[in-house]
Amino acid sequence: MYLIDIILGETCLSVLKISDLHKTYKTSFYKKNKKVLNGLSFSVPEGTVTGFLGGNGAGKTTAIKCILDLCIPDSGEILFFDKKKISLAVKEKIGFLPERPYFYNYLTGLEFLKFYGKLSKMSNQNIIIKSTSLLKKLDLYHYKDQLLGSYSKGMLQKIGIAQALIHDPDLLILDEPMSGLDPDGRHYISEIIKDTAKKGKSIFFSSHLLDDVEKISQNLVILKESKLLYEGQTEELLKTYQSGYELHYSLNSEKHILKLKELSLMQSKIEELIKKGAIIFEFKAVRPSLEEVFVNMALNTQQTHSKHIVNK
Amino acid sequence: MIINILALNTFKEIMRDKILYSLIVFSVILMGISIALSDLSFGEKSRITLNFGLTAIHISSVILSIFIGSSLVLKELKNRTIMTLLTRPLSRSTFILGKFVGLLMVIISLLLGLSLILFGIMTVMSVPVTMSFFIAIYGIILEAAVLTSLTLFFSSLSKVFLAISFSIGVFFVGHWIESFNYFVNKGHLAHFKFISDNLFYVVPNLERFNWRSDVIYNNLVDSNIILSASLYSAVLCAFLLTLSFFIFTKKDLA
Repeated sequence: MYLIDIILGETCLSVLKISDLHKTYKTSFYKKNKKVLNGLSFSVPEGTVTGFLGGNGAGKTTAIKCILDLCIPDSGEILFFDKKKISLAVKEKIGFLPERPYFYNYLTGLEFLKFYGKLSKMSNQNIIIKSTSLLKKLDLYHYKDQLLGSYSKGMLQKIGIAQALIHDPDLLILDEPMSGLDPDGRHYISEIIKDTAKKGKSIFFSSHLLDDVEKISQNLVILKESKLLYEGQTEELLKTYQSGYELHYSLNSEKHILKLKELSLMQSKIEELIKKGAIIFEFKAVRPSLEEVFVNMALNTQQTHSKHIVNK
Repeated sequence: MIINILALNTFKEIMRDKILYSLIVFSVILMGISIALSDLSFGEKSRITLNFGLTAIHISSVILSIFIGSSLVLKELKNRTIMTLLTRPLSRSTFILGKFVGLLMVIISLLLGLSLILFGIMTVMSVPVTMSFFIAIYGIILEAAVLTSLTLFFSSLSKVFLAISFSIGVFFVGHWIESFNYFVNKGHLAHFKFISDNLFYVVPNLERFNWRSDVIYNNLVDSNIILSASLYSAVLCAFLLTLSFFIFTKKDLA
């Protein structure tokens, strides 16, 4: 059984729980230490795709490095699965793709996957089966015997995803998996994330491409200047910024749009229009995109921050 | 075992590196020069062949230990390949140990290959191959193990350039330390006495592994000396690798 959090009376299983994480970096001998994470707390629910957002320097990559024990936090707690701290047994259940991956140029695609499979204690037969299936799925099978040094950026990103998935991890952590990829490459990675999530795996990924995040993640963790700005469902966040509803209809061969704030008024308006002989062809909630919400949130916090400084 | 997998990958990495082949070419050229020079000398044929041959093997092992050793860990950090590696079920100490074993495997393979070439040259030139020859090669391997662990220790502390500089410094001081001690004692240099007495505790005495001149003079090195040198090398490697593990475990891999 995984860690159980009680959120609003509902039970929610989480595969990763971070509490009060602090991290500072020493930039140079004479300068002050730079605080990169300032009491960060959030959790990743089991079996979900969680997007990890934040501007440049918000602390996303540092948080991921702390989660994976690549950086040592100043304080705070990071727990995986059944309240476990990171260990070799926990690492067996995690797959990771770093930002701008660079892999061993002297290995071929197949050798590379075999190497990571062996490190993950997989049997030789299992490695062959899994790597063949992943290489085919990622459209890299024809390049399996080519050195990674000759791979393009998109191919490297794909083979990076393959190494993260080869041992069938329960938690997949991806740092900017779509950055620098063409639309085709981004589509491939999105599909893989969706497929992995369908198998009940949990995915935690950071990205700057908010369109893609909106399409594939059910949950969001948003950072702003080393602190948590939002944690919760993507749907809930977008609803908060929903500005009303739109009814598209035609009357006397003319197209009209009726805008309403409250859903309760809509029913009577529809009945009224039908009586007049209008044809209703679309009804939708007016929601901003995640990108608009993100910019709005960033601006709001900036204004609050500025007001705070002025009041001081 | 994970160490084997890492060591084999390191072995593959170095074997596919062009620097290794440049080193082999350099050593073979040096050995070739020994043939030409021995033809010019009178009665010193075997001495010149052995001297050049063993020096070529020694230099190759030192270059591999220091230059490849210093970049092994730092290259993984620079290229960020370490980030995917250490998120697999392996500890940071296993990673360092895997790198050490892998490089040592390459050095031993290179030394065996070059020894075979020298062995061939010696046979062609009718220079007798004695047991001392194999003991000298063993001494070079012991020194290479110490230098590799030393370089890994320095590279866990600093950047490639500094790691190379420190290792080369220790290499020279380590070979000079016995002579320094000898001159301080003979010359009654009281103010250097403290340094010469304590330098052994700070810098490894690499001359303990130097049995190359014994091949030339055909002296058979005493087995107790070989045993104590082997122990000395093992203790130094264990100490330096433990220090590297300790430093590396506390390091942010950013």
